[in-house]
Amino acid sequence: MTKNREFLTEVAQAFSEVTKAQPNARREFLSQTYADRPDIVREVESLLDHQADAARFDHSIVVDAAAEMLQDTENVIGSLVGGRYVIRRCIGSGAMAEVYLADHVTLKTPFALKRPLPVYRGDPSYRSRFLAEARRAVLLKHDNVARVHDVINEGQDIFVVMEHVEGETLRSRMNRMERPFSVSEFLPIALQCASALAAAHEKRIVHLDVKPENIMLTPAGQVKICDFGVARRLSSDSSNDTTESADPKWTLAGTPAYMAPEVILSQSFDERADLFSLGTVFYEMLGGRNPFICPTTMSTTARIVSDMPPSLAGPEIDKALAAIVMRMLAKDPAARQASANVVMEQLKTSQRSQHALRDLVGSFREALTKHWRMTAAAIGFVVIVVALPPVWLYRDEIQKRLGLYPIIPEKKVVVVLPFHITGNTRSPYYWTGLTYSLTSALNQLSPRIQVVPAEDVRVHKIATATEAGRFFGANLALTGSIVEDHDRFRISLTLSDTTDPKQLREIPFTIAQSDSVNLESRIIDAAFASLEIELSPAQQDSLKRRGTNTPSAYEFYLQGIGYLATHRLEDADKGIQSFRQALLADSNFGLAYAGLGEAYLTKSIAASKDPRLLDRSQEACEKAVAIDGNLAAGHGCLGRIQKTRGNSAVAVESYQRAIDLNGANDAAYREMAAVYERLGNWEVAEAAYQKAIDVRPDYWGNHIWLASFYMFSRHEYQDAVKLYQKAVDLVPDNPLPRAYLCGAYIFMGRYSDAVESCTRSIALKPEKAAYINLGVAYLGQREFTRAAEAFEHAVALDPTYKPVGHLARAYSWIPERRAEATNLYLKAIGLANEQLAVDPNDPDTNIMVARYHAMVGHRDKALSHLQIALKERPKDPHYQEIAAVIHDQFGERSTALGFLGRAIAGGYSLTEIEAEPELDNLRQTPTIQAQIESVKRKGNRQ
Amino acid sequence: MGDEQDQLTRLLTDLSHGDAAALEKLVPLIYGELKKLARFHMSREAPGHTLQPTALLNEAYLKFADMRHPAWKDRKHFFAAASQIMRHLLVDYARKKRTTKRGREAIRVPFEEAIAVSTDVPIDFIALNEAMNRLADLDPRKAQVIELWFFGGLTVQEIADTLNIGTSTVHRDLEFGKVWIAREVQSIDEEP
Repeated sequence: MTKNREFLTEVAQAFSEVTKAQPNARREFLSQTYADRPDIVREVESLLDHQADAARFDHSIVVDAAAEMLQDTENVIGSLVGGRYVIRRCIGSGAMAEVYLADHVTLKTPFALKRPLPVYRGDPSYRSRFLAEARRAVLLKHDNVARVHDVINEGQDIFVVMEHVEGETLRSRMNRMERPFSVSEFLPIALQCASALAAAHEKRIVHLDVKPENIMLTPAGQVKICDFGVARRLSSDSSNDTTESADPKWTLAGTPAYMAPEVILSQSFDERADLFSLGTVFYEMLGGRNPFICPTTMSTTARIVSDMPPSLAGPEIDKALAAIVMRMLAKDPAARQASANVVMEQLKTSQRSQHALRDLVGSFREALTKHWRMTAAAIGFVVIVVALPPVWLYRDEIQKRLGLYPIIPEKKVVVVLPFHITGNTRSPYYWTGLTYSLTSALNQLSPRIQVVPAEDVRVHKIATATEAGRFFGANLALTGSIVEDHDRFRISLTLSDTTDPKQLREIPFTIAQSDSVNLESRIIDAAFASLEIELSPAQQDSLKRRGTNTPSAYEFYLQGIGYLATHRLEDADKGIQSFRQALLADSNFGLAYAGLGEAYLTKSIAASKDPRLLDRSQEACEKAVAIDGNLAAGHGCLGRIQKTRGNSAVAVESYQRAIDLNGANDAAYREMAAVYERLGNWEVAEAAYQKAIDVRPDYWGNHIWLASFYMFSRHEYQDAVKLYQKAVDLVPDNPLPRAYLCGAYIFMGRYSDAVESCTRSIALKPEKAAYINLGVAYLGQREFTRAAEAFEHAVALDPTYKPVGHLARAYSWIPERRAEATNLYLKAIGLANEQLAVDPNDPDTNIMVARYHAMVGHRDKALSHLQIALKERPKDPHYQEIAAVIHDQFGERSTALGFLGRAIAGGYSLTEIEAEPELDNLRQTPTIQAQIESVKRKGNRQ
Repeated sequence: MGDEQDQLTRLLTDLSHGDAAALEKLVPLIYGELKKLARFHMSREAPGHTLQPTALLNEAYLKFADMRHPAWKDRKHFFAAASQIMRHLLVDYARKKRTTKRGREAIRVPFEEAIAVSTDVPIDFIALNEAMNRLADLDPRKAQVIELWFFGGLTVQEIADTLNIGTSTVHRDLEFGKVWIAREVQSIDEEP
């Protein structure tokens, strides 16, 4: 503070000097004179900026305001009321009345004076009723009720003199806490509220306006329910109360959000209406929100009358407590507790079980403390203070013992399954987009969980928790239902154990449809709450920043993401439209530009990298980054564009930016690694793939990528096998890693291992790739019949040219099926030609077609397709090996030998050559044998 | 009345010695009288004639206070107290208006509309009060100069006399203090 004072003096001095200068010379004078004090320069500049505002200050403002104040006849501050109370100030005002703080002239104690608004106090029938009610309330004396001491009826004015309670309202406590009450915070307050109502009901007084604003909490922890001044006294025959409640103004002018349905419907009501209101307050305390509240009074009342809120849920809330509150909220008064006394008894029972829990916590603590002390003493330390571990450390243990609720495991591999949507105002693509967006947000927000990529879930069509557990090794599944009501979403988020169909947590909440821009962040919030992961304030803040505040923009954006997810060309166009609409709604929405860029990129890749589409894509992604330089999605998109353009160095830079912005971005590491792999910079590629694994070691996909790099780029099969095996261990029930592993075994010549892996993969899920690998493994073993069988399965699953070609190959080695082989080769050629009609220069198709033609003796066609393929990939050893097979078919041995030699020199595995039955003859030639021996001697090949 | 007079004199003396609690107690005592006087003046004054609050306060004090009391005969104390009381009254009134407005609107208009409603008060007395408190923490004299000038309507010479400082100091304090407070008021208003 002293420092601040000195600073202010310095600033004032500088300001005074500066203002002596000519207005246009002030800033220059300032920066020159105080060149060594940038803090003063900044402060004085800011003051100079406000000189115009200072001109608004003038004594005449005070004169005007005072005139208004003194002429305000509504204003009673300073007046003496009832000859006893001097009104000091207004301490609150509501829809029906104002409350003033007043001093009793002789007692010198403060009182709260409630004064109905003129519109009410001017109405004679209201006045008489109000006075009658208040006079009855004077009879009510209870520790938890703010006393009504007196009623003053003076001229046109009415004042109800009430006990002045120091403290805060429950409403302000709730606002301040910004979280639901814990059960131990809740119970003492709840019990006192119930007790107050019980006392009032005994005197046949119904409050009818129980709400957080009327519940005061004193610093000592005492609860005082206020405002029994508008409470109603029941006639002795409560069933005959309809006449008294016939005036809707009387009842509905209050707060509808806590009103019982029978009060709203103006049917007969009794004490149990207060139980409903108090139940709503309880629900809000424990659940964090009033379950009925809507933006308008009409919809709020509609909801109270017709909607049953979802049951209270939370880590601490046991079923018994939830049941007490839910019963208070029954629509039918007869279904509620019979009286406030019953509620009180039930709450006491709940409190006893809570105490039992606390005692158990205490004994755990004690045991732990003792243990620590002994350990400390044994090693000779003097322990002065033993810090106690927080309760949550052994909460799991306690819960397990008490069987209170299932525990969320420490290791969390989470799959987000598609939500069940009811209602059709939004496109299914919107919901897909929401799932994608929220999955990636979950993944990025916390390193404590591993989330299965949404893409994996979609591609493998996983819809149930059990499947996800088997397929992805996920132990937890998040899903939920979303019901679109006319003006809101009712969401119920559930977390379940994938090994056990039981639900671990259910978090229900609602959100206004007009607030859809926050739907995703609310779901993420709930998801983390269910996973018992706390987000830092910075993370919560980043959640709220979605880049737009325009709901329709965000909706179109999510819909666009949904279209992109299908990877279909026609959907890319729809995606482009959606992103454009998002940008129409908010032209400054960076994420939508990034999405637009991705959509154009998808389209351009589908259209053989159409440069115009690529330009559009780049334009959009550059715009995204220009709007928000920290948008990882924008940098990732630019990386992919440059990769597509072949500008690897630029691509890598963009990926690096994306990684810098979000260290947990394993996808960006993988993509960057792939670029380095293509550049031949294998060291860096390997490091980047490894980094992806470090970021998410439990994601099997990361191991597959590095393994495939070892396998296809480095030909280090041992390392590849190790990593594939790691992926298999992570997801033993996922067929994919086993199929990959099988492939690696084939490359190593370990055919029986390959057969085993492929067979197990097929047992989990019969897939074409696994059947093909199985067939190839059998070919390696020269088990042609079995190979043919495997390929037959592959063809059945996928009758395209490759499986058909493989089957033809297997048949050609089975003497009695040679004829069929020829037919199949011709069929494969026909199918492949369909492909070539679309993309005539595709080297992969050309090389296979060349091979098929060779097998049926079409020399010219074989050679022309081979030429196209080799032109595209002149150095690929695999292509050269096939060229050798082709030329060998036509008896052109020396050419064949040349190709085979180059294939071996180019690093083609000897094992692979040995796997080809077609090369059995060629391999036996002395030249190749010598070459093979030489390679073996160098020992640098498998 | 004698009792009341004594009490008032004591409170004014306490206030001049810097007892903040005295102000709380003074306000209701002064205020009722002030309102009565205002009504009286309003009824006889020509339209357009402004109601000078300090003059009203002066009258109110004269009615209550024993001007012969040694602690009170000094004009200094009167102006200091009047400025403080006027500030307190206006801030309290602004608070009341704000809660009334908010309280009623929150219930009667749909949510979206309630947000759009803005108060059209040219100077936010609540924010101004906060800013003046901040300034008083850093430099009590500057805050007092502003209070006397703004709420008391005193001239530079009167302020200089009241605080026993030179007129050039008052000028400097005023020029700086007004700008400083204007800036603070804006930053308070901009806070959510």
